[in-house]
Amino acid sequence: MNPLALLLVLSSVLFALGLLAVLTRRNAILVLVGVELMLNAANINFIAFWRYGPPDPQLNGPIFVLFSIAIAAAEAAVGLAIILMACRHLRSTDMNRLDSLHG
Amino acid sequence: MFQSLLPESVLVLTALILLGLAVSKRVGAVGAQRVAAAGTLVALALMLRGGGAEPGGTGLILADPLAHLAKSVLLVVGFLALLLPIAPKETEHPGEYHALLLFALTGLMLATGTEHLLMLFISLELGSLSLYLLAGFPRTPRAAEASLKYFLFGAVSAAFLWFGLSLLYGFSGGAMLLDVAARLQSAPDAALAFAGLAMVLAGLAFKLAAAPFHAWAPDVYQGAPATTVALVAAASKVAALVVLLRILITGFDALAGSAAWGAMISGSSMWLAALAAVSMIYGNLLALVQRSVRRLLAYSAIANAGYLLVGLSTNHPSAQAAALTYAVIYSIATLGALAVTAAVERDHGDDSRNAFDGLVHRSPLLAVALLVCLASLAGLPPLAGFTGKFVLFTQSLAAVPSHGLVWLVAIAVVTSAVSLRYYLVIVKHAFAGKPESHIEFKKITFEQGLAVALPALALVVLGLFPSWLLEPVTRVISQLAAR
Repeated sequence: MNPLALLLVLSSVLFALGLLAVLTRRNAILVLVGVELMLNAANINFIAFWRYGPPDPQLNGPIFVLFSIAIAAAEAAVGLAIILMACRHLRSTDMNRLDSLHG
Repeated sequence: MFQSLLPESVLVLTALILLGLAVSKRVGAVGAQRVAAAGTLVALALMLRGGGAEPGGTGLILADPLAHLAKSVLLVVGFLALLLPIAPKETEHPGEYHALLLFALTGLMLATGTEHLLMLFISLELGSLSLYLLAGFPRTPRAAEASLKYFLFGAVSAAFLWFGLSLLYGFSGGAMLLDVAARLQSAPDAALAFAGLAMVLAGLAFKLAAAPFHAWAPDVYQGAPATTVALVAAASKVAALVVLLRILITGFDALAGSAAWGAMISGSSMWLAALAAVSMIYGNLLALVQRSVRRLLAYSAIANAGYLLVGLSTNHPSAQAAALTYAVIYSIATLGALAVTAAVERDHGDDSRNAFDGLVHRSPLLAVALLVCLASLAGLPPLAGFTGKFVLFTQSLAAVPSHGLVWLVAIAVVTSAVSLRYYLVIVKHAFAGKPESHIEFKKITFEQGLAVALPALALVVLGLFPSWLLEPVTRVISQLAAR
């Protein structure tokens, strides 16, 4: 197996694990962890394609990843702020208790 | 290139001024709202004067006619959203609230004017992250819940979008949509491109609120402040549609496949047709059983995302133009309906259908505007909603050879007939219901009057002269397709 294929398998597994965490965890913070895992799986893709793909003098792959890390940090900041706010009202980060809105 | 970023610069500058005022605590709710509205108007004036309509650009920041049109529409939508009343209890930090609102608008505007994969992601995230915060501004459990749900669903969809974009980068070796299109010429059926396209579509379907990526919509519509809902309902939808159009037309024309009955070929058209069918059926049926008018508008948003996707699933410029036209008309109508709902809610404290009882006696203006907006959403002539739907459905039918899309258009026509019921029930409450006597009615402010009258007026005018909107949109889309 060539290195590119191996890395793609790794990133797909990471993405799937992140998605699994998002779908099964009821704690909002652990869902956020799952999302971070999914984003980082995509980052591995960018680096793998850049390293083993055709030559890319513009360094698109690494630049994409640098920006993505910054965005993930911003997303985590916004997410934790929102979770904190929800926690103040609900006294818990359990998403099963999010039921004040319904038809 | 920087000339074409002038409107966005004005928005960011206004947002920074608002943040400065907020820090020094020199601004109240009305003041912040006026500053933000003024900034939006200046940006709109620069947009319309500057033109920037010559095709071309570097791809990172495009100044093509589609970007110009989309940004103008977004600025108008932003201005109308800023006319909605802000209850003092809704935000104790008006400066920050309106600054974030302008950041959200800037992000959505930048997203409509780029072909660069990274720029696309960054600008959509700028819009989304601001909107998550805007949904949670009031200090109420409902707002917190709406914001948290919006954030969690949004973060997952952003992860899908980013993973999809990473596959597209690997497939094309470049950072532009045009690189993807060029690579598709030599390798038309690559699995990598298929997987990338599917994940990008999933990410954008969330922004459009298309089923089954809609789960956040009803809660956000119900729990968030009215101004935020207006931005989510109108601006976010138009921006997502324009981004989708760019991806489909510029990047993935070769991978369209077909949604024709009996001749389906896997590709964007088939997937979009499936999303459209599910959204139209699910949205319209669930809207029938809603008591809260805000939730009803959310399910109507899901259903309308379905109508838009019908036009996109043809992969034909005339139907795609009809979809964009309909998106603009839908945004105007839903903004008007939200403005009336916000006014009713201010007096009643809730947004159930019964709160609309006897609206015509309290305020004929609100009642008539509600009638016009809801009748347009339902697609009754002679309003713009009717012409929009008529052109969209007929163009979609004509765009696919030998009536291949008849199945999807049939679903669209039947479900929009169903939608008549739930829209008109509200109108019935407003005109035939008995008003509750014990509630004190506040006077309608000038801004509120403007927020309901402008959309209603626009819907009547566009209903009588549909070509004023349809012709420029068609020209813009065919220019993009011909490139």
